Amino acid sequence: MEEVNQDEPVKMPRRKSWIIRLAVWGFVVVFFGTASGLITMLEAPLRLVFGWAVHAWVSMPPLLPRWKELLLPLAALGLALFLIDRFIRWTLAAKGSAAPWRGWHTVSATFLLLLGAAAAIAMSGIVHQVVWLGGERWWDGRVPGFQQSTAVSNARQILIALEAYEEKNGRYPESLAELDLPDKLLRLPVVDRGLPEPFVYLKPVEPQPAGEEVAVIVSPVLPDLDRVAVGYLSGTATTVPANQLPNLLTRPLSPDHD
Amino acid sequence: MGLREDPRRQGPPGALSGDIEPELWRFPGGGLYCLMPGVQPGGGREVLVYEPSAAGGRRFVLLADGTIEDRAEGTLKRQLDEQWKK
Repeated sequence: MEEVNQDEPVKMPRRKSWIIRLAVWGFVVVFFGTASGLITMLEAPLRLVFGWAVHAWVSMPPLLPRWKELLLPLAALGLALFLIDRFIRWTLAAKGSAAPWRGWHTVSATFLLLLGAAAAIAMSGIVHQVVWLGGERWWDGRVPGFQQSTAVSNARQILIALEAYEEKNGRYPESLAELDLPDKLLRLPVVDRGLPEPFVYLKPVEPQPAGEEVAVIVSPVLPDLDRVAVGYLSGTATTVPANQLPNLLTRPLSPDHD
Repeated sequence: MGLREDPRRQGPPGALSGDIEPELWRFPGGGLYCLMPGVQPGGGREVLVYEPSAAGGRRFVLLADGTIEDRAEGTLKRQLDEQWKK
C-alpha cells in the first residue's frame, strides 16, 4: 500500500484549478462590468462563446416539426460524403499512396469545409452589423433617473414661463412657441443622443374647474421608465405612468381650440 | 402670395391643437406623434411629423408635401437638426 506523506501539501488537480480561476475571474469581470456600465462591451465575446448554443436552442424547436423538409438536404449530404470518400480513396490509390484513409477522415474534412462556409456567412453578417452599428455609442453613461429629473425640471420651467406669460398678457398662449423658450427645453431626447421629442401643451380651459389638478404640460414618454412628466396649472410637476396618458389628453380642451 | 406665406396653409402650432382630432395624435405603440413647428404643409421636403421613440430605430415621417417615408433614426436626426438651424 502506498504511503501518504502527511507533510506535503495536497495539490489540486491542474484542470480543477483552472476551472476555479476561470469562475473567479468571470465573476470579477461581470461584477465590475455591471457596476461600471461597461457590461455591453462584454456582450460581443459572450455572444461569440455562447451564441452558437443559444442560436441552436432558439432555432431547433421550430425546425424539428419540419423534419420532412430536411430529408432532401440530408440525403444530398450523405451522397456527397460517399462520393467524396470514393474520390479521395481513388486519388490515393492512383498516386500509389500507402497512407490509410478512414471514413471518419472524410466526414471530418467535409464538416470542416461546411463549417468554413458557415463561418464565412456569419462573418458577412458580423461585418454588416458592425458597419450598421458603427455610429452608435458603445455604452450608456447616464446616471439612472437623469431622464426623469430632466423631464420634470423642463416641465417646471415651462410652467413658470406659462405663468409669466399669463400675468403679462391676461391669457394663456396658443402654443409653446409663443413662450420664447430655448428649443432644448421644449424638446427632450428620451433616449441618450436620440431624437428629441416635443413637450405637449394642453391649453387650460377657462374658467378652470374648481378643485381639480389641470395638466397643461406633458412630456414625451420616457421609455426606460414607461412614465411621462406632467406639469399642472398649480405649478407642480411630477411623473405618472405612461398608461395614464390617454386620460390626460382626453380632458375637455379650451373653447379656443374649437 | 406664395404658398409658404399663405396663412391658410399654416400647420397646427402644436400637437393636440388646431382642428385635428386629439385621438389622431396618439401613436399606436405609445406616446404621441411629434410635430415640427413652423413647417407649412402643402409643399417641400421638410419633415412635418415623425413617429416617437416607441417606433424603434426606423421612423415613418410625414413630409410637408404630404408624402410618407421611412428614415433611419440617425438620418432623421440629422435632417431635423438641419431644419432647426434654418
